[in-house]
Amino acid sequence: MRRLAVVALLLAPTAASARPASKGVYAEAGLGGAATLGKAADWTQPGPALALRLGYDLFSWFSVGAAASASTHEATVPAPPSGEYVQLYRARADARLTARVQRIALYAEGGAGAAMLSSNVLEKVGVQEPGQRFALAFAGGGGLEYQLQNRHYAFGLGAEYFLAPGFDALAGVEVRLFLRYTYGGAR
Amino acid sequence: MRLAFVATSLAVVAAAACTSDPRYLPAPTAIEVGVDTGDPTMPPATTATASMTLPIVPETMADQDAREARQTALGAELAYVRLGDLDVSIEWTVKNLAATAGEFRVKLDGGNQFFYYLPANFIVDPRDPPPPSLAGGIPMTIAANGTVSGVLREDTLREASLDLEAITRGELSPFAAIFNVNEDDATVPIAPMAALAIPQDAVSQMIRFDVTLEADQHMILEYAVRVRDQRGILHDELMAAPAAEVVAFAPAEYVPPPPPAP
Repeated sequence: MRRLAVVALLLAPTAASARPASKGVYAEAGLGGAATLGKAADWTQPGPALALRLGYDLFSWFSVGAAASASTHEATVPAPPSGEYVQLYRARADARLTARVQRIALYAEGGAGAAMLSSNVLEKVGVQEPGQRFALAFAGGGGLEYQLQNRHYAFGLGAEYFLAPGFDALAGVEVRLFLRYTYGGAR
Repeated sequence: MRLAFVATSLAVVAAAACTSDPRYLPAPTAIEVGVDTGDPTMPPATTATASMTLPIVPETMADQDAREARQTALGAELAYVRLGDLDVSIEWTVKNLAATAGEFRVKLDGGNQFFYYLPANFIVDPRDPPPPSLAGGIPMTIAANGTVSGVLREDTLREASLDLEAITRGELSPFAAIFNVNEDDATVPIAPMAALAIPQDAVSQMIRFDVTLEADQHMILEYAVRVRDQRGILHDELMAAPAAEVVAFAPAEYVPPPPPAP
């Protein structure tokens, strides 16, 4: 109950509603989860994900950046092997559009890059070709940010859809909570 | 503050990405025993073996120079692939295809660059029990139409490499080599009477794996070899690698010297 009261206090509008947000170079670090979709969902279980993003606000509403994420999944291919885990690494260059309403900002982003699987355990089910570790990957998504009193910091919730056509059209979604730090003056 | 935030985040991702990732090599074929031959005079086979040799890329000149320098220092011939280069484990699954419960054993033998081990070669008197395999060999029961899975772990196969070197180049009895745990020994003998011993990281790594299924019913064994390549010597395409791009290891069958005359 006390926690709820603290959260409500943080979210409640105050006289300082028009919080300034920094504009410039920023970094984001997020934790969440990722799950594959379609037939790949039979071979990989949902797992935890870690995401990083470095970017630069060209305008208050548009930024470019580079994003990387890593997620780990139990591989549920026909045994043997069984009980093994595989990591999916993704990196991309992307662009983000942001619309800010006082302390809340909504954003949409998209980009292209590469995906890497840590092992060939999915080769058995045709997700990978022999010797294949990398594939082209695309990702797009959106989310919202909550600007803190300090103009450099914001919390956010984001979700994205990713697709790696080279891995037998491996697709999935990632959801994350993140912290953003922006180095720069007010927007 | 901001630098620490970014640096910590990057360090976490780098640590996650730089661990030695496993590679999985599927068995060349499933091993099936107990198949009805259709001929009453020919009983079904109760044992079958499949062999797999790891696809290793040829040794570089730099590696060869380093190996030869170490050979000179130790006064012993060293293998190209040595203990610690590869961490290997084998995962297996046995399915009982019969409508009756049964018993089976999964055994592992094999070879390094120099020799491969066949327990039958050590049988002097047919009445004696055969020497043990390098790993496995534990009798297990399985239900009718049941499935049992298991793994020969990395430490087990590391010990098997130590034992193989001691049995072959060290001319140690298989019983002595296999039933003693050598993982904490500083050195391993590679000459008769332990006249010459080498440190564990100079011991030859097993690169050939002979997996045997022994069963009293109609059963099938499937397995996969899991390798963590610490030295980067496994071919990227694994079993699909062109033959010209991997080392054609040809270990000799190890035949022990005859026992001394009574």
